[in-house]
Amino acid sequence: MNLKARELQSKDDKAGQDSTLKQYAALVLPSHCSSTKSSRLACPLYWFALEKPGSEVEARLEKMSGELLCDSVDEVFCFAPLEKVSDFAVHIDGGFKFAAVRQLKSGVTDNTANSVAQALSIMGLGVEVQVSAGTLFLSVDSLENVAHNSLTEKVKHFQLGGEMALPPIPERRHSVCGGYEVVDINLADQKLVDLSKERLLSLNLEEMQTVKSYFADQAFQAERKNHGLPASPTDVELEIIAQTWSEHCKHKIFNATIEHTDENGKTEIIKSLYKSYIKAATEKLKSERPDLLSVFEDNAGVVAFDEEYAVCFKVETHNSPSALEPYGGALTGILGVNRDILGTGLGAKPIFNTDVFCLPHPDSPFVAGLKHDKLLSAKEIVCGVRKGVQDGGNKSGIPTVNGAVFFDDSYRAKPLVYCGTGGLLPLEAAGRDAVKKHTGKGDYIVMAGGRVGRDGVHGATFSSLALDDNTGSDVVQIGDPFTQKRLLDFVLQARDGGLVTGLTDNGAGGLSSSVGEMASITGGAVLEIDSVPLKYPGLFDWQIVVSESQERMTFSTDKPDELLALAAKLDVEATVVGRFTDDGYFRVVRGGATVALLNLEFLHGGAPGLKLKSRWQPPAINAAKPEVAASGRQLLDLLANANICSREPVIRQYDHEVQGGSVIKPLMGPQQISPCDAGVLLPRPSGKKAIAVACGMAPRMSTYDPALMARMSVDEAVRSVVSVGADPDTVSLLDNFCWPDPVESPRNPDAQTKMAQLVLSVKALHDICLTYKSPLISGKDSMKNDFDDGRLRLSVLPTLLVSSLAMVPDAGLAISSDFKQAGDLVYLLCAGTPSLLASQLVPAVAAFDLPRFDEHLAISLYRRLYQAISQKLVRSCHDVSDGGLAVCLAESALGGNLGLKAELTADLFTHLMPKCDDATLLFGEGPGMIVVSVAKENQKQFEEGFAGLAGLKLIGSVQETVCGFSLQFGQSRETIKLELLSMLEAFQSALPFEEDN
Amino acid sequence: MTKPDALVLRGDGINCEEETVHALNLSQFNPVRVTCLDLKEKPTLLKQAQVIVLPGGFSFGDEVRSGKVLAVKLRAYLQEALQEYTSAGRLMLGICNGFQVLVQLGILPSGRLLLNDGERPVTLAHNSGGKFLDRWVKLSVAPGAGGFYAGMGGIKISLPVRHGEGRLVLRQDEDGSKIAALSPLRYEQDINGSYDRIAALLSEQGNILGLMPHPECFVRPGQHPQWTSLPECEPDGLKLFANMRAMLN
Repeated sequence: MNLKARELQSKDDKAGQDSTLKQYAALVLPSHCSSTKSSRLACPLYWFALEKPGSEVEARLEKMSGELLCDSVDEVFCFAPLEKVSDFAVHIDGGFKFAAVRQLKSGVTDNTANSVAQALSIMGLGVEVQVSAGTLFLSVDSLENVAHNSLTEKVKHFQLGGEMALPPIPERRHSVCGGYEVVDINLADQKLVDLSKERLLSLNLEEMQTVKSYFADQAFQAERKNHGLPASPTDVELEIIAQTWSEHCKHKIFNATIEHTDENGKTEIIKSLYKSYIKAATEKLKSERPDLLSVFEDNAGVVAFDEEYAVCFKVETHNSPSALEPYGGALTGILGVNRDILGTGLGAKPIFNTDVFCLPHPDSPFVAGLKHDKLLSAKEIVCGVRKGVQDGGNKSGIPTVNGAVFFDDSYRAKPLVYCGTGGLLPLEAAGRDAVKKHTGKGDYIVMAGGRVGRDGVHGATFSSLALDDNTGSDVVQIGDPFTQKRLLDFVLQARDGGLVTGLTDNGAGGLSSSVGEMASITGGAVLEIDSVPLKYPGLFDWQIVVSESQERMTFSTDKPDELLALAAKLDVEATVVGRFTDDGYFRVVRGGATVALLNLEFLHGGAPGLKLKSRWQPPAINAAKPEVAASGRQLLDLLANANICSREPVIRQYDHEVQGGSVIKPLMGPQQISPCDAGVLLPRPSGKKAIAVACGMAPRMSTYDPALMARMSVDEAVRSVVSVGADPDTVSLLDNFCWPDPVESPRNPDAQTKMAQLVLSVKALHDICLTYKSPLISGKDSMKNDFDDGRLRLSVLPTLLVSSLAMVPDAGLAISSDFKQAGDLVYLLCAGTPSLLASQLVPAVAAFDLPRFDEHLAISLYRRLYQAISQKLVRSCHDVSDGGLAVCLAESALGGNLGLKAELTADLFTHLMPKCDDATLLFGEGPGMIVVSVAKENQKQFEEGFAGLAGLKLIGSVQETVCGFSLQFGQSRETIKLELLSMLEAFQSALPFEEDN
Repeated sequence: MTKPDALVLRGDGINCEEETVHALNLSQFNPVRVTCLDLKEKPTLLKQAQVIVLPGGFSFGDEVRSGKVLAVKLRAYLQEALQEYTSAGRLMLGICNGFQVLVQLGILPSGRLLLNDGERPVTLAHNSGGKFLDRWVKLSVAPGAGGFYAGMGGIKISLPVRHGEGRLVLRQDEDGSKIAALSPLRYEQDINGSYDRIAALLSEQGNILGLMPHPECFVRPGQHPQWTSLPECEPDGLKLFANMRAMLN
């Protein structure tokens, strides 16, 4: 039994057929559209449905929709009853022979239609109208590849010239079902497992057994009787437990008891990776970091900013939804993490977004060669994800200040979409400590924002499953940034007006999770589901409780009337849906009757822990060392590598300046092309103090040395903010683990290795955080990044994203990566060494040395660098990243449109390793390296600042533009000589983000 | 001296109101944030206002056409009040999405709210590149420009653009030279296919300005993408707000 069958979808659709509805279509064509000017056109197409319309209403709809939808300056409007759309043909140029209609499937969020319906109502249409928006494609040639996602859209092709017929408006779902059912769990083990599978509960046998014995408890049974509930659980109760205990919500793997065996056969027991290493690192640093106001408690980590404000930061992933519907998945990802910030403390204002994509490259031979009917094309994933984050950020008025794009074949089936948001939180709001929640017994539960539908039902449990055939279309969510922008305005005004005592996001798990979590503050809650506003009638009770319909937040308030009045003023739908209590129970009620009763202690603390095994055996690196040419041609190829080349095509489509706070933008310098290592912005426009935001990752290293991978990721995140002028002693970090499933099963034979990779990386993460004195303040994990249809299994590289947030006390001292002036001296700071292992040039296993890395030296160098920056001795800084030193130097030269003359000697890294070969010197990648330029007159003072430390090397000087790029290297003292223009051409070769319509 | 009020529209997906308020504060205005509903319910607000600013953003999610639905709402709520306001020659500034709204209302370039869509001479359409674009651009101010551009005639300025629909398009048979004469600001390079590289339109009376670039995002030298290598300068966006303030004297 799959999800669809349970929801009686086909029955619903038939029930929705209503013969009293009259349908219309409207088409907007460009004026003077001719097939000779453009051989293919995409024209907006709308459907309307009115109930028993009179001719007057019909005429009004035609007039008003024409005024609304068509701009008479450059467009022509066609309107007709659906059965008469052939009339449209006279407006269409005869050269167009082929057409296709793209339409949303029923139940899919339609943002255009929602705005159109609101506008028609404002204009005074006076009757309710159902609207749907789509596209009519016209073409001279046959239209085979109309971009669409088969989960959310359908396409109908036809030829022009004959009778024209459009499909009807997507039906609103109606159904007569609803209510709840009682589920017998007094079952034998195998039946329990089957039940969990059938209902998509994602609970394992031990968990099912725990539920079974909880319901066998006599005291609980007596309590159930009092509330008129049957002995067996209702499906509402089972679903609430499943959501609350899902991997997504409970982080079972990070809290599991792990038996870890190292390469020497030594075994240890780790009780919770999270508590033993991640939380522990922060605990150990807390005494030195009084600015940590709230860590690992709320929706985001909170650190002090100044006397009046704190800043908070959270990074989420939205991988599974982005695999199914890349645009909707990425859009809901960014909107979701925005709500995490809105739901931090008493409500923070989102002030920046970050985005990191791990994607399949559409042109890679592996990707191009893999055809699979269950997988979207890599192109669709890449373009959809990019567009989703664009709409999510831009339409919400939140600047996207930092990010990364990393291509690797392992992300073919599951792209990783990391969305981060930072917020500004007043320390006090309306007399209350705004960093904390103040939800009290008797407070009302208010839900505000979007309505509840079936979209996103089972999202939390679904993200904890491998994607396969049975993944239902109802898990697809499309975000609505406009509705959420209104919600954002509402939250901040409600906070400042003292109208809320607490709030949280309705993300994974929906009301079950938001109310369930807030209930633990007071010790109980009653949720009245008949008050919950629905998108359409006929949802089962459990669906209302666990639906993940977007753009909703849950509030606790002692002033419900004032809160609802504010909502009405801002066109935000808000409803009282219950009360917070202190009886120890989360209770769900319909029409006064209890449909779910669960003890909060059991719900949040009753899940049995997982027990997992981990075994580490370092991989043999025995393949031959490939020849890598140390040449200018090689440098040009690297500059044009998709993982290195300019991100400008993506950056330009993201608003990175809204709110006016930008200090260091993603691209700086005279030509606005210099890629900057971190975003710097002013949280308060009139202030001097800024924050820096960056990230680090090294997933290809995971296979060889997971500990080094974690150390390199932290180092890159810290080094990047240091490179823009941030104080290294103010860095706070976030960890986001996206792993292939480390739980053993017949289809997952190497699970213990994946678990070991996790153990090693988490331990190393702990250690380097202590060395750098950089606490982790928030994090998230996504542990099932596999695709498996029974034949093909694809897993992502174990991927850790580390995000960093740090203070720049004086924004005027922030540093960009471009060289500033000919004659300036160029230095390399190095606490690590380059290596070609797992680099862009040699991504696969080969006989190379691993990078060496002295983290104590690294943090010492960073502190000295910060001193030098504070003394205004530094002109530019750029961290050495993908493509190595040669690429780093090239980027700073291109960024400043200036030449360079430098020499990389074979003994550059003698304080860390013996002589370095030419290719490694030029193109090797590794931690702990920064290129710095300094005015000649400051040479002495700058060098004195590093006295007593190894690792400061003078390597060359900035030259006039005409001198070009000249890099001498190695024992042979050969030289790469390139003109800036040829380098620029390579660097700006397009990323694969071009969309076809 | 008391600072004059400047109404700043917010809500409905407008999202640049805070930095606009900041720019107005720096220019000796007293910014007052208002929603469409506020203006409808309190008619005195608009009656007494000397300045109203429509900030940038994505009103109604940019659905149908940028600025269109907010224009429909303003027309439905405030038709007469806006007619009165514009005919009195008081100041109005539309930035980016605000400019798009003024064009959809017909207020630009005509200087008055047009009731018949067929009378509107111009519109703003998708960039010729088909993409949203965030970058800083060089712009030239028309020689002899006054009012909002007093003291800036003929010079080159820098401002950021952040839009997907900034291409000015003329109705067929419209007199291009008439429209061109109303533009105080042009892109130095063709960034979006706009007619005559027009970046802004001014009403004939000179009291209503709409522009695609964001002057409120260049009120601090450190907002310029090249500030780390340039000597400190007076930010070009701030000059525009200061001029608007001077126009009230």
